[in-house]
Amino acid sequence: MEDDNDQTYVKLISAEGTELFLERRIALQVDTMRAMLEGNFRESEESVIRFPDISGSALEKVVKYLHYKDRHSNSATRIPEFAIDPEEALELLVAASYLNC
Amino acid sequence: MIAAREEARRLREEQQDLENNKEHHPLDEAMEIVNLEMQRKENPSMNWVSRHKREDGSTTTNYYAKRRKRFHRQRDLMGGSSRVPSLFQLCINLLVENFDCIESLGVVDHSIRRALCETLVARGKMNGAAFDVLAEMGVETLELVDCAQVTQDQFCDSLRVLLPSGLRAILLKHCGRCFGSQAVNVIASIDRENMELFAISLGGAYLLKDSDMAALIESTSRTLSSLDLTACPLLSEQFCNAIGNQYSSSIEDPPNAPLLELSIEDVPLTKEVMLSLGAASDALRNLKSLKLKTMENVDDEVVSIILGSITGGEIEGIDLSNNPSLTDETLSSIRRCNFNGNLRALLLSGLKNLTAIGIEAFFTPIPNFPAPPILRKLDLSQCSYDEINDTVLTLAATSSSFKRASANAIEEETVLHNAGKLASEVSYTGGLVHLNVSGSSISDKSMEILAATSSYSLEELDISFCPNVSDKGLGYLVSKVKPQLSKIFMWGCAQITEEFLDGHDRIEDGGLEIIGVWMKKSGVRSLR
Repeated sequence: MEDDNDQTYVKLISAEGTELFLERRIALQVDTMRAMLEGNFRESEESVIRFPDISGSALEKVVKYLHYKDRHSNSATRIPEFAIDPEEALELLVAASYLNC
Repeated sequence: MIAAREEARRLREEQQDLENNKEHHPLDEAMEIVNLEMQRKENPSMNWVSRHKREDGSTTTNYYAKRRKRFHRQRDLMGGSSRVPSLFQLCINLLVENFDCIESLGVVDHSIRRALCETLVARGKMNGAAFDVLAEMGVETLELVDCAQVTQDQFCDSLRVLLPSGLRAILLKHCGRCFGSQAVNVIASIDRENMELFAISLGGAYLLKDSDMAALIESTSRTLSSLDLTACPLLSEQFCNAIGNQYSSSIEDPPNAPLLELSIEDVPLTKEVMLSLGAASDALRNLKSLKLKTMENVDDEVVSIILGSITGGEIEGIDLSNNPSLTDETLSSIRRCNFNGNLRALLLSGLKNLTAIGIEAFFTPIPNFPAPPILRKLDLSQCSYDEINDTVLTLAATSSSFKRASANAIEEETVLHNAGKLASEVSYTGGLVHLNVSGSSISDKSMEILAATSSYSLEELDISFCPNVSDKGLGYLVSKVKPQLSKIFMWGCAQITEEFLDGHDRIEDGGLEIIGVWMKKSGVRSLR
């Protein structure tokens, strides 16, 4: 799964310290992450992005959404709905606003 | 009908006789070639070749199919399929569906509140309870796109809570029902020390009386710097007097905030009242942005007095659109008040009385007069068709691309007519950024001039309803301007064909959005 030398995955660290892995090419589709990975920041060298404002559960949901979007972009068939729990909606909204995705 | 046909045939035969009888000179053809070469040298746009290969004897001219292909191509290039909604939008939709269950939003960014408000209004779910949630204590900006569902009592209750806890801006549209005397009384009753209101923008406040507005200004002038009023029919003398009194420099203890932005649209102020606004005191001296739109009593004298009172020289944006009585005189007032050269945005849309001569003079250096403005945003749309021509645009573009110091007169004839020479004289830091010349008679020549002067700066261009701009001119412009050019509006330009639309240089990178050429797919059914 993790392949630092090849750098095909990036590591996302949430506020609580939980770590998630995301394919680099999917991360690059998100404006904020792309800016962090392509600029001269420490994140780009280590392929690690920290999100001290986003909780673990919200970050997990964001990653799920990114996979959903990647799967269904450019698809001609009907796109299934992406389910969101009402309890997590507000936190997810703030995260989405920050990430611009 | 037979008679009409005979008539047409007769005319056609006459025409042919005429052509056959033209005198031939052996060197005619050579002269033609020489003329063409000279034209090509002067107008580099004629040499532009589109990348689009025209299929000879194309089988179908199915325009719908072509448009659909173009639309899909642009959509795909500009960030993939828009069929997957963004996470932001999904969350907003979910929250709006269940907005009744929300008690409090907590500490969220203003942009989120505004997005929620817009979606609530769009779905028709905006009501008193929703308003309460949006207007919680501690909010810094209260922005409501549509206050039609909010009652005056409710609004006042929120104001009573919000104002002491640091409300800085009130931005309301369609606020007629909720913003009246009661609201003003609430604002006026707040202690002046606790008032932090910095910007007020009211749209459609039909219950707001003149005396109320005056009271509002008096109670907020300590901190209020930005005032924006649209469609408030009851405002008149007392409002203008209040501005004049409260913001004049003679008030020193305690000093009031400087009025930085004043925008009045569609308010029936009489001429005397507006003259007093400018003449009574120096309230407008620090103004950075002035907008007087769609007001029938604004004429040259009013503009001259008001602009004349902006003595601070900080003015950066002037918008005088849709005031039908303005003429070229206004241009000289604008030039005079721009003595520090800070003017960057000039919007003169819909002024039918402006003439080419006036605008040309506006952009020409004149001794003993402040220099022509170095603009970044220029809007001359919907002015008289013949008056906005190539010469006007050339002067505007060249004066916007000079550096500050060099306001020297240029050798007009040679430089203006030779786009190549022009390119070497202008700086790379200048040039127009937003340009709107829709409804004018500009042609490919202007495209060349724009390419020469604004190739590093142009971001948005609007040439809707300009019939004299052709594929070649536009193609040349797109090939010369750097990638910051992101939008071209061309509504009503039927003369632009696939030679440009499918063959311009930035087909692949997808950063250029061309708006107004094809119909978007609506719903699920395809266009047929």
